Amino acid sequence: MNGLYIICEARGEEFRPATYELLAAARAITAATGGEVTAVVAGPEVTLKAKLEGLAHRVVTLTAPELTPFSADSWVDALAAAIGAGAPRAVLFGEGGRTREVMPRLAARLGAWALSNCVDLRVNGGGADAVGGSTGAGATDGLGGASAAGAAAADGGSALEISRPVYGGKAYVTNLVPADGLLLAAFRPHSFDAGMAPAGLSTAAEEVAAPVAVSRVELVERREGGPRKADLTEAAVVVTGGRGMKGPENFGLLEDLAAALEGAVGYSRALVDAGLAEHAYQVGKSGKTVSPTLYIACGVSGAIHHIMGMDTAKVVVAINTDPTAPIFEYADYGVVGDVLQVLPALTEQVRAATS
Amino acid sequence: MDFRLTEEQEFFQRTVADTVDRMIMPHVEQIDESDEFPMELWKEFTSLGYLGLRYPEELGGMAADAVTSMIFYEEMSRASIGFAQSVIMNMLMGTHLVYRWGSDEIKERCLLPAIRGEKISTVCFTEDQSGSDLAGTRTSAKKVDGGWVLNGTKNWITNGPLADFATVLATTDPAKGMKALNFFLVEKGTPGFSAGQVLHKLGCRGTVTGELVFEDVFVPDENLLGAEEGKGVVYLGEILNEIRCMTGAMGIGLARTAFDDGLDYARKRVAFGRTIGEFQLIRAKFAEMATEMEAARMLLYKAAWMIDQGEQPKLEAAMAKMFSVEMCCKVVDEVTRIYGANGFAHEYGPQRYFRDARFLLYGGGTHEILKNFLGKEIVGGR
Amino acid sequence: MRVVVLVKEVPDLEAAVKVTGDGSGLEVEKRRGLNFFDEIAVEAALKLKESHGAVTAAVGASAGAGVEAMRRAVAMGIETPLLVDDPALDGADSLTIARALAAAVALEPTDLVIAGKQATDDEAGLVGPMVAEILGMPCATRAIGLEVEDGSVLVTREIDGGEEVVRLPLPALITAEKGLAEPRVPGMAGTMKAMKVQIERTDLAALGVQAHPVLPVVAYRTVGQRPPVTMIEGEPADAAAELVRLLRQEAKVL
Repeated sequence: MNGLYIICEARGEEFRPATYELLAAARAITAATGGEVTAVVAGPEVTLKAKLEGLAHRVVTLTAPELTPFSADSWVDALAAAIGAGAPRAVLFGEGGRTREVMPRLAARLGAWALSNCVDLRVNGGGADAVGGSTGAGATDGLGGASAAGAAAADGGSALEISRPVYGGKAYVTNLVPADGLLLAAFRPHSFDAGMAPAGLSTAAEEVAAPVAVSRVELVERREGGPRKADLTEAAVVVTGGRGMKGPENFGLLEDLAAALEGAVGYSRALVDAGLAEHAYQVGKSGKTVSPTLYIACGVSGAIHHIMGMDTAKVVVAINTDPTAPIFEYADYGVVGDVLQVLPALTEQVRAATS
Repeated sequence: MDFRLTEEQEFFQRTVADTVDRMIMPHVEQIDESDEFPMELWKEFTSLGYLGLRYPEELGGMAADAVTSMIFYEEMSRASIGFAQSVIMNMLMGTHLVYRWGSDEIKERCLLPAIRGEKISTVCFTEDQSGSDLAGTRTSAKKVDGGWVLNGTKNWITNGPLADFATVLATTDPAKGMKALNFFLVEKGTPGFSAGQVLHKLGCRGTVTGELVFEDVFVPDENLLGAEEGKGVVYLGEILNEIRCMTGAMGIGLARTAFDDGLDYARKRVAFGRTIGEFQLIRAKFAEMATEMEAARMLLYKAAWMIDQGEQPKLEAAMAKMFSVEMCCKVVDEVTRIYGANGFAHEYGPQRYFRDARFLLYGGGTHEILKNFLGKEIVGGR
Repeated sequence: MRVVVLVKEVPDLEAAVKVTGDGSGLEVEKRRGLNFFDEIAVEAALKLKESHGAVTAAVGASAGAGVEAMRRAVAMGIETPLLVDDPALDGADSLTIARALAAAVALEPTDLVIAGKQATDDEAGLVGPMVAEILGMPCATRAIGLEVEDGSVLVTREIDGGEEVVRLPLPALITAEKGLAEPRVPGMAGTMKAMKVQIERTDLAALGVQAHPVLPVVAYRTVGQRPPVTMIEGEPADAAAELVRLLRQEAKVL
């Protein structure tokens, strides 16, 4: 009961970054505790398995034809069989819609612990960052960023510690995962640094062709679609323009960044009062109160009126030409510069980073 | 002794609070700015059935006790005082005498639609020359064959210009003062009954307040609401304690909104490198406000509880009204100070709270009248 | 047709959360209500009551709480509330909760179970699909549309990168995403009914449910105040690149 399974998930022709991050974390942990890293690929991902060479001790391919296209019923069957056979101590997933369908049902079937939204996994008592975990100060997760197994804790069979936010991110809880139980855990993107543990493992390949059930769910129609346009008060990301945007001719820059972040656009009172933007999109005390994960204030000075509409955002970025603008007092990150120049560059970087 | 709401009452409070937050809060600024009666909101809100809160279940009500009704008035008053005033008028003063003394036919025609929100009601006391001094009522009712003829002008009538029916205080003999006062039901469309000037008010905006004019208005005998002539003031007295408590509850609701808004501001506004809530003089304001709010609530809910015990808490209700509203006026004042110059700006709430609080000084007895009453009750003498 | 909604009582989103001194516990302000997504699930069930004459029930599982959420469901129009109330559910593992709910659902033949997509407190989204698995029902998560057919339901659901329409044979379980239904505001009559309702209670022993062990808590930690701003220097292109790097690696919001 020492191995770690990683359920690999792709987007198009490449694995999600989370897959590589989880593989790295698993390598770091097994380096300390012993045990193997097993990458599990199934269904549509099978054609990509060559990309996993060196990243795991073993790649298990689930070959049943019912696994393509993805269906939860068949996947739960196939994964339950593979996990049952391999008896890992933990199975790690990247957070996402597919994981949310499969992981809980697997846990129910296998009598396992399941945790969503995890941000950190380490060996109990392990020294932080001993294996080169990412170095972030952890502005949001309050846990000092991801770290992995400490070399000091290399007593095989150690318990694992796993952390995740609760109460809408107002607190974090760290649980102890005893050595003798099966844990299924879904991790948020960027919980680990994909470079935190060396690759270059000798990777064995294994195929599992266990029969699986045909899905009871009949697919009638699938519509690929762009992201839904987020509602201002519910969007996870809000990009707000202020006086620094000058005029509507530049509002496209806000839309572009918001689109790249799948977020919504808001406007400051200054623009609304000037008749340049609609009141329905005004962020502030007399407009909308927003509480997104990421708030980007573009050319907003930061009048208290505005602050009262966005202060509960988790991470605040401010871009303003005036380094003494009050908005910087309420921001996590500040860029002093002309928003009309910074915005296109930022949109480009975001697109590159998230594509 | 138990000062807590029951679990059921707490659930009621949360449900009403949530309804107010979802349905009314988004419109409060618009209502204040436009000073127009929000008819769409009225229809949406009244369709929920709360107007029948105090009335028996067979009339579409909830037969709620006084404490529960105070919870409702308090939560309503966290949003628009104007809208709350219109709603509460239909729940209490505007319909009570019809409920108590109206014939089945009158109830069917007026009370039930009013409980459903389909008819708007009001009660008329105040005149140009009389408000607190009811004995000075000049609107007259003259007995004629089969009914009464009303003449006079009422002023400061909540919902007046919109009202589908009004219970109107009139004297059958000015020389007999209080002993000649009666309430008459007058329905919209009755010849000679018309709306006069609409008042332009400092606060409590969005409820339409104005004059009602009665020129030789004939109403049939059954429209005299009461078992006995000359007992109008006595009948009104039956709900006077409740009206006073209700006004106090409105003050508590408004104070809570102002307090929460001030707290939010004090926690976010930065001065001299720290949030202003960290300064002792600001903290002192919150300490005092919170204490007085708590005291007001204790006094008010005790008076309401006494009503539910079948007592007549004349003193307690008067004290609760006066204390709660004075507390409210203090809280809204302090919150405008916490907001600094922003308290003077129309885009922030405090100026509205400040204006609205003043409205509560008059209904249910001015504080001068209440102090006079209390003083006399306590000290005795003439 | 019997439709059962799984409901959870959660702290308000604005409720204050404090870690107790030594990090061993959490104090959460007692402002609680029906989970946002469960309210949508309740509304979806009520729509079926109106359109298909469905009989509706709500089940919840907690230790000494949950009445508030039950009352809300009843105020909205749910006919039968059932609460699994057991001290062993205090801080219980998701699987224990799911087993309790599944057993409560299974007390009567049920055609459709609707759960919220996730609870707003832990945002875990585990219990709904777990209940489906335990009851052997097919499951569609994140439903935004629901039509009842003869012996099946047609569900429009969100998936990563789009949406799909699927048909599930009944009995089935779906989880409600925002957009499935617009929750009604309870009226006074419903509120009155909810205030007076006797909420039926049961416990794990009566349901024959075995608790799954709880993962021990090492520590709780709250999120501190916003740290001082990190100013990013440089030309727009460089500053943008550095900002994106920090948002990804440090703040972890991209």
